[in-house]
Amino acid sequence: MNKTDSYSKTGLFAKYKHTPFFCELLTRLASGDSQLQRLFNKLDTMNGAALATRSRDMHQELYQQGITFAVYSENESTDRVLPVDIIPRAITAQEWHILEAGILQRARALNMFLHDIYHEQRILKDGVIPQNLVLNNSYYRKEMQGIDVPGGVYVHICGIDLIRDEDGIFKVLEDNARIPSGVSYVINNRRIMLRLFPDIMSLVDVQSVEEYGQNLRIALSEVKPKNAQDPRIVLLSPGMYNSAYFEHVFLAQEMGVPLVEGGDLIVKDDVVYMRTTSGLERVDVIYRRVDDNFLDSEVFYRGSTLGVSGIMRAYRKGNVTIANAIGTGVADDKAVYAYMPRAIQYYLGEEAILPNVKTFICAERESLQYTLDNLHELVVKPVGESGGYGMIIGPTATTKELQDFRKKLLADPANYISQPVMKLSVSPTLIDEGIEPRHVDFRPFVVTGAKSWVLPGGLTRVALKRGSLIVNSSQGGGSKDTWVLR
Amino acid sequence: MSDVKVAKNSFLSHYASSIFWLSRYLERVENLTSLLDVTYSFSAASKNAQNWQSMLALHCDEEDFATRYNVVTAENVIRFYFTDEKNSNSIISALSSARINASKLRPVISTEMWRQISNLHREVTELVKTIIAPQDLWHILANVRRQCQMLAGSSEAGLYRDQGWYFYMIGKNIERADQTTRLIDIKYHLLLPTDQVVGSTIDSAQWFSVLRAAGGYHAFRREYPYVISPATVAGFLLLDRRFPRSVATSIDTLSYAFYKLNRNFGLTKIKEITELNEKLAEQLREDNIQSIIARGLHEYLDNIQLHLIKVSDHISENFF
Repeated sequence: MNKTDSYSKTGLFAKYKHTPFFCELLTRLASGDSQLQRLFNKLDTMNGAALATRSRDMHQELYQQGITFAVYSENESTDRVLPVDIIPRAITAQEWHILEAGILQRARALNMFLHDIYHEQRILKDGVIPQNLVLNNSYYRKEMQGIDVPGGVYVHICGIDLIRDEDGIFKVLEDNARIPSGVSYVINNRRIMLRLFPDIMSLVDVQSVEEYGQNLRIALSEVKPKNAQDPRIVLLSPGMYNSAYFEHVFLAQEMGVPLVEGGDLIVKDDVVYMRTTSGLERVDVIYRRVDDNFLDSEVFYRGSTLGVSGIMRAYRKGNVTIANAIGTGVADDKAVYAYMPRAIQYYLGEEAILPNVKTFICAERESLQYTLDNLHELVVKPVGESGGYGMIIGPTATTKELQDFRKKLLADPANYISQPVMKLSVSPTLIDEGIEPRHVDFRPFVVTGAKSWVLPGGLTRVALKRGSLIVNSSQGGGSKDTWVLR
Repeated sequence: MSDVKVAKNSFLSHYASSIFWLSRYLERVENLTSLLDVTYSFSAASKNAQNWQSMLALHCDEEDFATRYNVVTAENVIRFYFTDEKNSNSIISALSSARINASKLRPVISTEMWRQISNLHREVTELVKTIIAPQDLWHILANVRRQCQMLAGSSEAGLYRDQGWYFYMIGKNIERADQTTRLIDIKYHLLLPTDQVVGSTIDSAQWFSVLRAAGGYHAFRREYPYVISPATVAGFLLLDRRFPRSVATSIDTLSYAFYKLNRNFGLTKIKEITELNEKLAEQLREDNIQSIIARGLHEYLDNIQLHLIKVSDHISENFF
C-alpha cells in the first residue's frame, strides 16, 4: 500500500484510491505543504450529495449563460457545456516556479525556430532537424519566407500541453502554436469557483487569472506594425457557427476589441480596414482565430469566405500584424515536437527545463519498426491532428483495431509518431456523489509581445470516463479550475 | 503610456445592423404577442372569425396563410403567428432572427440580455411541437410578454450608450411605428361604423381591444372618458405624443436618435434623413385627426409607411 493512502480519510475521501498513479492532491501531501493540507482537510469534510447539487446548479448556469461549445454530428450541431469538475487542481509555488521557467524557455525557442526556418534555416543546414521534415511539412508556408514579423514574434499565444508522470515529473506532450484554445474556460472556471466555493477559496492564496485579456491586448499592441500609432486591434472569428465562438466573444470582451468576421474586413492598397458606421477604419493588429488555410483566398484556400482576401499583401508589406503569425503550424507538428529539446539546446544553449515525452518518429525506419513491434504498448498519433482524432492507444485497442491501424501506419509512416503510454497523474474528481481519481493534463498559456508572460493558471483537462486517458472536450473530457498557489 | 489611452469611438457596421434588427424583431414579438392576446380575448366574445381574418389582413398574410391552412380558425391563426416556422412573420421566426442577431452581438450586449433572449427562444421552440390549447394561450402569451418586458428593462438599464444604443432605438421605433400604422389602418376600415353595429356594445369593445393591443387602453380612458369613436382612437394612436407607442412619439424618438448619432458620434450622413423625419414630425404636430380623415386616412398612413421604409433603407445603405 502506498504510504499516501494512509492519510486520515474519514469523510469524502474514505474510499478514494489513486494508486498506482500520482495523485495531484494526495501524493503531494507528503511534501508537507500547509495549503494543500488545508484544502484536503476541507474537501474531506464535504458531503458528496451536496457537492453534486452545487455541480448541477453550476452546469445549469453555464448553459444558460451560453458558455458552451458546439459539437457537430451528421448535419446537426448542439451546444454543449464543457463539464467542469468542481474539485480544483492545485499547483504549488515551487512547482510553478519551474513550470513558468520551462514554458518561457519553450516559447523563446519556438519563436526563434520559426524565425530561423523562414529565414536562414540554420537549424536545418546544421542538420539538427531533418530539412525534409520542416520544408515538406504541410504547415510550412513558403509565403512566409523572408517576411520580418514585428519583434520577431510568431507565436504570440501559445498553449503548451503538459502531463505529469507517475514520478510527478511534468513533461511536454505537445505544443499548440497555431490557434490554442481553452483560455476562456480557465478564466470562467475561476469566476464560477469564486462564486460557488468562497469557503474553499478563502483557505488558500491563489494567483489571479483575471489579467489575461488586458495582458494579451498589451502584448499585441507591442507588436504593432512600425507605422501604427495607437493600434486598432481586432479579433477575427470564423463566426457564430464555429465551435469556439463563445471563446472568441469572451476574449473580444476581455480585451475590449471588436469581434470581426471576414466580411467586416477589406484590403485596399495593401492596408486592412474594417467597416464601421463612419466608414472604413484602418486595422493594425489582428488576433485571428481562423486557420491559415482560410485566411486569404488569394493565397491559400481559394473558396474561403472566412478570411480576408488580400491580407497577405498587407502582411508582406508590414501593414498589419497577424497573431499568431502565418505558418506557425510547422512548430507544433508532432514530429517536429520530437526535436524541440534539441532546438532549445541549439538556440539557447540550455537544457530543456521541461522534458519531452519519449517520442518515436515513424518517418525514421528504426522508429517505425519499433512502433510496429510494440503497437500494443504505444500511443500512436498523426503528426498534424489535434483534438485527439486519428490516434490509437495500444493497450486499450482491440486486435482488430490494431490490425487496421497497422495498415494505416504502413501506408503513410511519415504521418505518425508513437509514444509510450503515459501514466498520467490523477486528480480527485466528483463522480455522481463521490470522489474518484481521474486522469488529468495541463495546458498553461504564454503570451508574447515585447516579452513573454505566462498566465498563472491554465486549463486542466480531465478524462471523466473511468480509466480513460483522453481528455479532449470532443471526447468526453471536462475541465478543472487550476490554482497556482502563492 | 498605454493605461491612459482612451478607446476608439468607432462602431462596427455589423454590430449596428445586428442591434437594429435585434430590436426590430424583439419589438415585433411584443406586438404580435399583444395582438394575439387581444384578438383571442375578443373573438371569444364575438364568436366569429372576422377578427382572426383581420389579423391576417393587418400583415397582408392572407396568401401565405392559405398555402398551409384550409380555414381561418382561432387555432390555425394562433399557430400561424406563434409557432409556424415557415411564416417569417411569426413569433418563433422573429425570435430565431433575434437570437441570431443577439449571437453576433454578444460582445456588446450583457450576458443577462443574451440569456433572456436565448431562454425565450428555447421556450417558444419547445411549443412548436405542441398544440396550444385555447385555454392555455393567455398564460403562455403573458409569459412571452413578460419576458419581452424584462428584455426591454435589461436593455434600458444595461446597454452601453454608444452608437449601438441609438441604432437599437431606431430599430425599435421603426418597427413600432410600422405596427401602429398598420393597426390603425386595418382596424379603422374594418370597424368603420356601418348601419348594423353603430353604437352597439360590440363596437366599443372592438375599439377597446384595438387600444389594448397597442397597450393604450387606460391612457385613452383618462384622456377621453366619455366618447369613444373611431376617430378619437385613431387620433390617439397616431398623434398623441404622451402615448409611448403612438406614431408621433416614434417619429420624434427617431429624430432624437438621429440627432445624437450626428452630434455625439459624427455620423453626418444621417442629416439627409433627419430633415425628412423632422418634416414628418412637424406634420404630425400640426395635423388633427378630423382633417386627416377628411383628406384620406389610408393615404396618410401609407405615406408614413413609405417614410419608414425610406429611413430603414437610408440607414442600411449608409451605416451597415
